[in-house]
Amino acid sequence: MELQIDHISKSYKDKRAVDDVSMTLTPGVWGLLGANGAGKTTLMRMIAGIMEPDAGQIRYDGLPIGTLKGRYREIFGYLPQEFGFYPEFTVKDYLEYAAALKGLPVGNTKRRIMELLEMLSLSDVYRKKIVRLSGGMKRRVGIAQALLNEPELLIMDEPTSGLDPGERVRFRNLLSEFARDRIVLISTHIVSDVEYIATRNAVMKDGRLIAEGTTEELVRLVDGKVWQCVIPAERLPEYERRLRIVNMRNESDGRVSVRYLAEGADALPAKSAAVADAEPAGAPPVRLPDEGNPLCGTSIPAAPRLEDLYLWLFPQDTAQDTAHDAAGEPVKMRINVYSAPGPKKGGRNA
Amino acid sequence: MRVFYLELKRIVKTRITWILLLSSLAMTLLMAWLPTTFVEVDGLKGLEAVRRLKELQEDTAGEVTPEKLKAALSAYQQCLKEYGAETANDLPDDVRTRHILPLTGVLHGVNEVYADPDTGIGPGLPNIDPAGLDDYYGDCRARLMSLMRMEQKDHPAARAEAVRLYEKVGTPYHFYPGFNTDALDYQILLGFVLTLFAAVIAAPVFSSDYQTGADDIQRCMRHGRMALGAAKTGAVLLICGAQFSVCMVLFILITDSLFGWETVKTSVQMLYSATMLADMTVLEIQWFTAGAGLLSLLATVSLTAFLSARIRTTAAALAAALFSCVLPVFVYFAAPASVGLWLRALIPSSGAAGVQASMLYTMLDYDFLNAASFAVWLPTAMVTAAAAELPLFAAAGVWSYIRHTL
Repeated sequence: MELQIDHISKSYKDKRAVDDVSMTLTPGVWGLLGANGAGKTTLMRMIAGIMEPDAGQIRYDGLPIGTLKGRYREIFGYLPQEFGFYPEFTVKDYLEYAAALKGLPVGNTKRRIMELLEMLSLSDVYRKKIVRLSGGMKRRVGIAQALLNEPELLIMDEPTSGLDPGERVRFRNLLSEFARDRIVLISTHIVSDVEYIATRNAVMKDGRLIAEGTTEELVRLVDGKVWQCVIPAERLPEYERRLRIVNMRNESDGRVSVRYLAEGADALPAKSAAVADAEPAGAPPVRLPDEGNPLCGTSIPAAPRLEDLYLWLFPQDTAQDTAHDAAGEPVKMRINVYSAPGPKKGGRNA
Repeated sequence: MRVFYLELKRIVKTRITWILLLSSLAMTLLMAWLPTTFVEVDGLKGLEAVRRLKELQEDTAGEVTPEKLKAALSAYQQCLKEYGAETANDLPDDVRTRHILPLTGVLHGVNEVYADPDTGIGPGLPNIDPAGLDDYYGDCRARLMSLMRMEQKDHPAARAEAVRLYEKVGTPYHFYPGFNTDALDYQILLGFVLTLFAAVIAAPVFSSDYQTGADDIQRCMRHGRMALGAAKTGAVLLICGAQFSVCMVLFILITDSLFGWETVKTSVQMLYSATMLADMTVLEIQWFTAGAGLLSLLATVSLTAFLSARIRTTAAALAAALFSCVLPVFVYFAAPASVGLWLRALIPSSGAAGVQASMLYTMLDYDFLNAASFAVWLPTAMVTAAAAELPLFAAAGVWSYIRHTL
């Protein structure tokens, strides 16, 4: 079982939304990462067959999905970013309607709906109108419809948006279990969702696929680029301008623990290994005597996570995105995976 | 079938649908009753007036033979003579009620039949010689031909077609007093309102799915394309068709029960033009108007579903659908005659829209579509076009839905 995406491109009037993307999806959970406008939704819509690519072909088990038609849709499940439903429908009405459209036998429909309602904690709202449900519940109804026909190929665009942390954990577990012998592709901004369950990830940027691999493989791309240090709280604004800070935490003594991204050579000087080893595990790094130097501080390398890769590839549009060198000039960073362009801005020069 | 049933259930459960269905029913009851309130006879109003009119005119009920017409016209003229009046309006009210009103029903059309062939102006009942009514129905034919010479001067095919149609009209005519043509006006008005309601019900059938994004999910499902498209179109046709049929049947049953089932045996020529081309009684024209209206409504719903499949937002689809419903009215008043007739024949809603532009009033007229030596009476063209457009637009709508991409 495999889904081959073969040199797919799609352009809108003024934008190339998907640019020559090729990949082969095999059973397991695939995470599709990318900033807004990276082309994830367009790619998913083409896989769903609701949008025609300008070029390229999508094949399921070697056959173009356009020729499979109903047979492809029979094994397909889809949850778009915007879950559209009829306002007059109750959860029951909607799932029965979806089951009929999916061609579920009448005898199996009720059993399958009940299973999913139980699985997604929706049993209590079975007869409620969808329009009256909370955002998280609506999302779960959307997930339920996608799973109704136990699809071999499941595509979900931002499935966890609107779910609370508990719901997200339950959903991740459900998906992991479901993905055995099935292809599941999910896009999300909540990187931790795919970090935990994705067997492989694909990263899109500006319509192009710039990286693909397991979480461990992708994380290696930012090895040596994630740092931690502690700085005086009053100097935080200055560091925010200079560093690509991905996380900060106030310490009890008026200092701030900062996690940031930088090329190894650009990082604030690291303390000696001896000092680092002396620190208890998980403790914030101590400052060294050279604190008087505004460029130094103290930094230790941190274990990279998928979120760090995401933020490395997709710098957020904030003050710290654009680091500056000593002369005040912006510094650009590049990452080349699949020969793709790297971040447009960011990085620093110590 | 399961998808069709669920789609049917879905549309019926939509708030706007059941509000409009209930409103249709209420409108039907109201509009069936209202025409009785317009009847005024001998100081009486409503149903009492209808009963009084029937009593007054009961002697003239039945076949309208030349002998009966001659006797009625003689009596009419005798009354004027006795009272030294030039017209019936000069008579005292009670005299007019007792002596003239009993004759007016059966004499309907006599003045028209003996109109000047060149000007079309009637001579007035006091000036027509009763002895000249011996060949009344031959004179009707002659009147039609002179009328057609005026109306279709350059189209001999149309004139021949009119004569051919009139040849089929059964004579003598029949007259049974008590019916009021307001009831037929209200029937076509009801048909127009129901068509507007149907357009409102049908407009969101595809476009709302595009707008809400429900379409994205549905078209990824096994039966989410052809089957769903056909189910949606079929369901909306069934709902609107059923709504129209129920309301029209109810309207006719109530109207005819109120006015009396005998009055509707009257030939339409005894209520409208004496040379009208339709060979029908009032009851038959009621059913024909309802049937043609249903066909027109279904073609309009079909067109609306097609527009809905092409347009991405519900508001735009609704605006387009409502515009298509009122288009025949604009065409009737604003388009040049030759183009206007073709447009009226082709616009699906023509058979159910407006009053003057409606099927009933088109049947009262002598409009033909002329092409070389070929002529088709406009009502025939309208019904034929609607019958062809109904499946055409339905199929085009489903096709558009299947092919729809954002």
